Amino acid sequence: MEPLNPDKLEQRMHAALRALPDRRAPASLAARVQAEIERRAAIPWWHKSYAYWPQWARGTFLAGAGTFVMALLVFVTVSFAGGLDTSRPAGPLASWIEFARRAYGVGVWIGDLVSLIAGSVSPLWLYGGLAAVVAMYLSLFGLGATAYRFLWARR
Amino acid sequence: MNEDNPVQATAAGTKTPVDFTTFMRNYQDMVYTTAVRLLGNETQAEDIAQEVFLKAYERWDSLSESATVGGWLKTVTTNLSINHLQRYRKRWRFFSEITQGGDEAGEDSQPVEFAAPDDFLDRIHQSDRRAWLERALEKLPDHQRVPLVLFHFEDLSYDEIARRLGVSLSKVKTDMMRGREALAKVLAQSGASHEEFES
Repeated sequence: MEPLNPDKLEQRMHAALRALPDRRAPASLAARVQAEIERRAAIPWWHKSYAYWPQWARGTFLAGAGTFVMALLVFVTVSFAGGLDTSRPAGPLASWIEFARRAYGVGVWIGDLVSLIAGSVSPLWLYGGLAAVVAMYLSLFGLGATAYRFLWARR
Repeated sequence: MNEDNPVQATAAGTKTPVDFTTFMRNYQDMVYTTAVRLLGNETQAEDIAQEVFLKAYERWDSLSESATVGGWLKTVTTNLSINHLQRYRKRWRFFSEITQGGDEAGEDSQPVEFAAPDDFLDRIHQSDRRAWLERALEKLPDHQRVPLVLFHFEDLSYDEIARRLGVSLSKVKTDMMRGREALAKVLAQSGASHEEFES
């Protein structure tokens, strides 16, 4: 009996594997596909992704989005060009602009507060806190890796 | 309602076209077989097969008249199966492979010398050989089973397999050699004792 060299093993294995017949699909597969097709068909188009929307909905969405972007561009351009007095906006946009201004003011105030606190805390505490967070993260990561290797990978 | 969708809603509910049902019946074994050999897991293979047929259903208008639909199905099944494995592998590779490192280290190693007798396949030629082979293939680790299936069943070259899996050519060759060796050993043992393989 001679040892089987790699080339001969490849040929033998190829012949043996190619001789295998197809495996029979589970009887439940066709029913599963049918059920999923029915489930998807029952979903209204507005709950599906854009690719599944009907033509008229896609057209309407594109037209609406285009109009909105154009209006926004015109508004920003006119505002920065000084052609519109945004300090006293009129019409339905007034309340929105006022809300945006207040939100911006709150954001700036929070930013100032954070920078003030960060400036008043000593670097030792900041770096110590950061090191503690990193140490806790690494401990949990190591614990997870160890648990995986002993409880899962060896099954 | 989406006009591209071939589903026809009736008072009795939704129906798939009869052609698609026949089409699925004709190809389901091929699709499932491709998936289960790549994945080595029957449950996952059924999920992938379902996904393949749902994709086919979405493209049914063009696929129903295509002469290469079998090839399309096989390609989609292969791609979905490999994507599934790679997604899963990326998620767990740090935990499972961090201390193994044997695959990369083995790239430069000498070809594995297989010491089984020349006629090991002939001796178990009858009866359960096919079942043993299927089960032995299923038990191989992913990095050995997938290139073997792509090479022996999908007719991909070593280079194509390396590119498709994103690994080096030498690793593909080493993994396939070890996979064949493992298969042969299992088969040789199975030829001597069926129960031994079962345990």
